[in-house]
Amino acid sequence: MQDGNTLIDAHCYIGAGFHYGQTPEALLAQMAQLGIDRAVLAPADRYIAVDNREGNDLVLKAVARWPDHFWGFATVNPWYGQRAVQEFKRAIRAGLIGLNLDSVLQGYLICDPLVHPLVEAAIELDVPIYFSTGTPINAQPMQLVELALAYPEGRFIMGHMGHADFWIDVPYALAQAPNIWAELSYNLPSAVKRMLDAGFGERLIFGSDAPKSNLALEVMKIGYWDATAARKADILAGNLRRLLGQRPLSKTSALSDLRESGETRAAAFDQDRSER
Amino acid sequence: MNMIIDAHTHAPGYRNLGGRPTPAADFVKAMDDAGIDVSLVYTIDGLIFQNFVECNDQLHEFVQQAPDRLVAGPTVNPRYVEESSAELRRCRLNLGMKGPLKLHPWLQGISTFEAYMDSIAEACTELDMPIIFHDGTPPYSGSLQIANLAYRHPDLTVILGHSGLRDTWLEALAAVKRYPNIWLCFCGAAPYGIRKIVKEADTSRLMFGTDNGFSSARGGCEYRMAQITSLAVSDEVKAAILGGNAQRLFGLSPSATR
Repeated sequence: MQDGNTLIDAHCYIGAGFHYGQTPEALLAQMAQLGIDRAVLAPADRYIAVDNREGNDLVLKAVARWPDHFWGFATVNPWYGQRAVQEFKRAIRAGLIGLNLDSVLQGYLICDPLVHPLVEAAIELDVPIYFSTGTPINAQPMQLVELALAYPEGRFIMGHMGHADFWIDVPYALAQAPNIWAELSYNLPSAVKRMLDAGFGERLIFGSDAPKSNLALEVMKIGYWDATAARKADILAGNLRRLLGQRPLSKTSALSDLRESGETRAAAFDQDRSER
Repeated sequence: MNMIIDAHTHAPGYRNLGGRPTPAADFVKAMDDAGIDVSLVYTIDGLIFQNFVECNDQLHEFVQQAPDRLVAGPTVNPRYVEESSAELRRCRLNLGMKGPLKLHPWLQGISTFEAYMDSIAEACTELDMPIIFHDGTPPYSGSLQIANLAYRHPDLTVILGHSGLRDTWLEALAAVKRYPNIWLCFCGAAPYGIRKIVKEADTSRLMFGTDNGFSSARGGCEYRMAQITSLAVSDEVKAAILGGNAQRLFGLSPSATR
């Protein structure tokens, strides 16, 4: 699989949430239809707010079953304190590759020191943190900048790139904090152009936020991007892969990696069960 | 005896909405009742109607009724860069306004990320005139959004006029810790936030304000002052927040303000 033809959706949800949800099977069917090679999963709303472990296990299961199509981000609510840190570490060791936080659902400002233990754990585990942004009062791009400046060794994804009201903040945010990448769900092609013109092409990442957004329409917008083929390839796969440390895409290498980590995962699940 | 300086008030306004000019005597009476020596006064009408020259003149008339007690800070519409720069010079150099430029992003429909704000910041830096912003109200008055202007203009003094209000004082705290040219005015921040900020921030860049003239004067000034006097900090720190810092920042002498 060549990067130039690869399409990765950096952000979507699975599981039966209260407001929305989808099964991994339904997502896979839609991905096949739309030519999406891989999607990064997070568990849906209620799992983000409260049932963290249940949600993480759901994502782990999907990733283990369809390793060629899914990567997964863990979620934990920072209000659980050290319990959240422990669950985050467990999920990463079991096979997930990032942390998904939602300050609106979980109830804090992005720059609240409440989050610091999780950021420190993410740095230790060498994985990025995805924050949903664009919602006043407590999910604003400049709050993410403050957190990113406090932790320059951390890596952060600005979910939805501040959509809708904070488009004007975003170039300043990325200029000030070099450790922030922007995920593009909901944004119009003109917003992509604005960021490309501002020189941030290497830090933009395609993502859908499906099923909250419309996966087909998120893909449709790609056709309207005013970008070179090489730059499109960056945004559709290359930038995310580099952010994730060139995680292998090819089936053979992925399979051998996953066979090994599958055993680790199984052991971790066993351990978790015995802990309960 | 330290001066008590209220760094955030408004000349009672809405003249262009049929309101009547309020005699400054009423305003000063509220100050006397609360024990406030000097108030920094900003416009209200100028933030809404955008005829900023007329509104600055009205503000000047208002403070001239009690020139030893009232200090004016002008406003402009930053989208009109040239006119605004000229007006800031007029207010500072001709009218003798010692106060900061007052801006209110959500009322005025401006963002600190728009290019004209850099020109206004340069004009203020040149005049050694701080800018006091309404803050704490997203989407365009976020404390950290405004703080980015201070980051871009390190020689400009930026005052967060509400220290993040009730919801985002954590942003104001982050801003005053990160940027040495950010000052905070306690005027509506959560009391818990105020306590936390005083504990963690550089207390030489903290002030207090009442919003007198906009919010109800009766009891309001006393309430805001008591938020400071009730802090568990030294008398020196209280005196600095209640007046010493503002006196230093705006170069105010105890007897005369002009």
